Amino acid sequence: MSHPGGACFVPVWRPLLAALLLWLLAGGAAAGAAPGETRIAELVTEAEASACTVNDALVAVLCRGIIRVGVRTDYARFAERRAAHEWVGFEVDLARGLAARLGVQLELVPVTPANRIAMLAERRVDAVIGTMGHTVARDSQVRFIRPHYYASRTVIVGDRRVATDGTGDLRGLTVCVTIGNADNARIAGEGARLLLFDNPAQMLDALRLEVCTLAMHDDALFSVHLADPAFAARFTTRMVVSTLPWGMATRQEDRLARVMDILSTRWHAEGYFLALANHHGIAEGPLREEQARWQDPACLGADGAPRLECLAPPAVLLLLPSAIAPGVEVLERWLLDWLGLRVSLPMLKSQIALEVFLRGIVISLLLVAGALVATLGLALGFGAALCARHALPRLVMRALTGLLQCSPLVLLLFFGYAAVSVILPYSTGVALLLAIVMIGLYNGSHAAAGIADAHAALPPDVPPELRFRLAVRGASVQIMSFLVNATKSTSIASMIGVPELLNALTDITSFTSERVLTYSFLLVFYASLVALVVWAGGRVQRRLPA
Amino acid sequence: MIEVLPDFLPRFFAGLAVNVEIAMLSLLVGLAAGLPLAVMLCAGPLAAGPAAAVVGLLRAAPTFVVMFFLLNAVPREYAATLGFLGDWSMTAVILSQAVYAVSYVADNGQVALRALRARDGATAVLFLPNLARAFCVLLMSSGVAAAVGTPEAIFTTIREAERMPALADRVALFLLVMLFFAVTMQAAFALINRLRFRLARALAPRG
Repeated sequence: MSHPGGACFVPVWRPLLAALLLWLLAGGAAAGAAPGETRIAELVTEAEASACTVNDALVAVLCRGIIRVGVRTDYARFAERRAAHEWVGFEVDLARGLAARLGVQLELVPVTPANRIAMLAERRVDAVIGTMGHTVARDSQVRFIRPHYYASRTVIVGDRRVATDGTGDLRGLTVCVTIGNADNARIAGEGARLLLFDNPAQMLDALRLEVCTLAMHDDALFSVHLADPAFAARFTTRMVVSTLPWGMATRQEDRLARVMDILSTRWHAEGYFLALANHHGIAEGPLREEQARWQDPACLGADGAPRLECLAPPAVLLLLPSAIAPGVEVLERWLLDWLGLRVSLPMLKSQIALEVFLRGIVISLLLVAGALVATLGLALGFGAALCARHALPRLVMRALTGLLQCSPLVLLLFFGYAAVSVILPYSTGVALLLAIVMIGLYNGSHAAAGIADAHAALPPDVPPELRFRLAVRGASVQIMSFLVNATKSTSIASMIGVPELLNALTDITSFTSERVLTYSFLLVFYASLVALVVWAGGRVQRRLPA
Repeated sequence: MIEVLPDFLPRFFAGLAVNVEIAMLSLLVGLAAGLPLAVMLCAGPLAAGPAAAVVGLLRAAPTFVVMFFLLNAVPREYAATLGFLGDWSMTAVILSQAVYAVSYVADNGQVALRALRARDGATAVLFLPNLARAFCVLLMSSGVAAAVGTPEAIFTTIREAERMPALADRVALFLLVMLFFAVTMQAAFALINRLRFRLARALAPRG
């Protein structure tokens, strides 16, 4: 049966099959009650006795008779939706096992890395089993089930021909990433250019089509593709960025979370996780080690729940809140309550995001100011050479400006970037200066051609000492239009790694997932800069002597 | 560097075809939206005022930022509908380039319409070479599509350069492609100027 939002109910036989598998793995009924089973039964009984209005996910699930579990739809071997009713994968089977143990129907709800936490917070799902890394930062947003059910390494896979050994080599290289990856902030900080994708399938397509030479994701995804000889012939794992434990998650600390804690402990000890991983062809990772750990009675409490000292810690990818974060949250709430506007300002809420954002604004302003000065200076310099009395400087300058005018700006930037790399190590300052020079050269050569045209159009009786000044005056509209063009094209400098506002906001988006307001702000910022330059230019033009 | 050319050149020219496609479609969108704006600009103040405001806004919009805005801020469900080329990133590139094309067509169309009204055919017909010039500008600026992974000529060049271990080879490759663009575009602009000259001479009032 289809369901609004793309979710679907799973046929009854599947939970029964999963329950049977569980039962077999547990050694059947003859083995007696497994550790924690009594506690689970107690929690379920308590929940059944509670009124359906109680704020407890287990109560809600039992009242509804359905557990809604958020899973991915596009993650090979972990969770894939092949047709409306055909879900397969390791995490899908975990969801089935959970529903079977609770004796309720299962509703699988598609989630993405960008919305899975919001789906829990908005009570659109009861639990998420969706390749979610357990980080310290996320501990404040959801309740992670422990022990973790898997652990992946975040790796960078890339073209075999591109030499990269450590994250220090990423500067200036394009890395395809999925939005919401907690490691995006780390590699953005190393100077990588991030190309964002909504899901891993799109990201892998981009890697195959050479949209990027490197792609970052967890090794669980890449291991499937690296097993394909054709893929492995072109790509290899270039570096390990971090290790990340994966956890199931619920909205809050309640009975459902406690039941799932005990189930997760049992499933490790009984080898259910391991058996499922092998069944789906997933690398075992730390599962065998975890099985040994949870088979040890010393790691279990009296009620079968895991002891804290045996639990693997979450990854420390903490986005510390900024000093103004509380104020920003108040503003967001006020906008929602009073104006009904759901506004999210992630660029102001964490220290790293605020730092990147403010630096982006400062660098954008420097870039625009520098590009304007360079364009005007080079226009006058080139213009003077194009209007020179001697033929040699005129010819040389005509060839140079011809080359510059007819080269796409993006190409000029990359040419300059490659040429400068021969003599200077990359730094933000070098990239900024280079961008200013290249934008100035491109627009200055166009404006200089305008000056030369105006010079050629002057009557022959104009005295030589006045000719250049009059030519500049005559070409003032052209000069102005290329000053505006220089302002408009400054954001292209992001392509060579200048951390201006576009680059900064792309980096922020990659780990905060908010895009609409972020990019709207970017558009308004740059359009305002252009409007300011047009206004200032107009004033200057009006004051020029006739 | 020479050894990569047999493999690189076919991919480069395939990429160039994508640039031509982007420029042509952007210009078509520019004509479709720019000509009505040009008509409005030549009409009474009631129509000309709003049209001038729209053209002014489009003129101030930085196309590179517009491209990222369209890619990221347009909700996925609309993007799927609007992605008339089956690929939203390509559509976003075309629409962002069209922002420039619309304002250019509106400005030049207005001049041509006023000239037509004044029975100045020589000036009016210059609209055609101006369109050719806009096409060349769009062709060059379509290289920004490299930023979103569209496989056009600049993108192909950047990827090829990333694979070259020697920096000198990278510089040489970029220089080679720059020379190609310089020669091609200079030739195109020379042709356009010649066309302008001939049209102006053919349509100039005799006597």
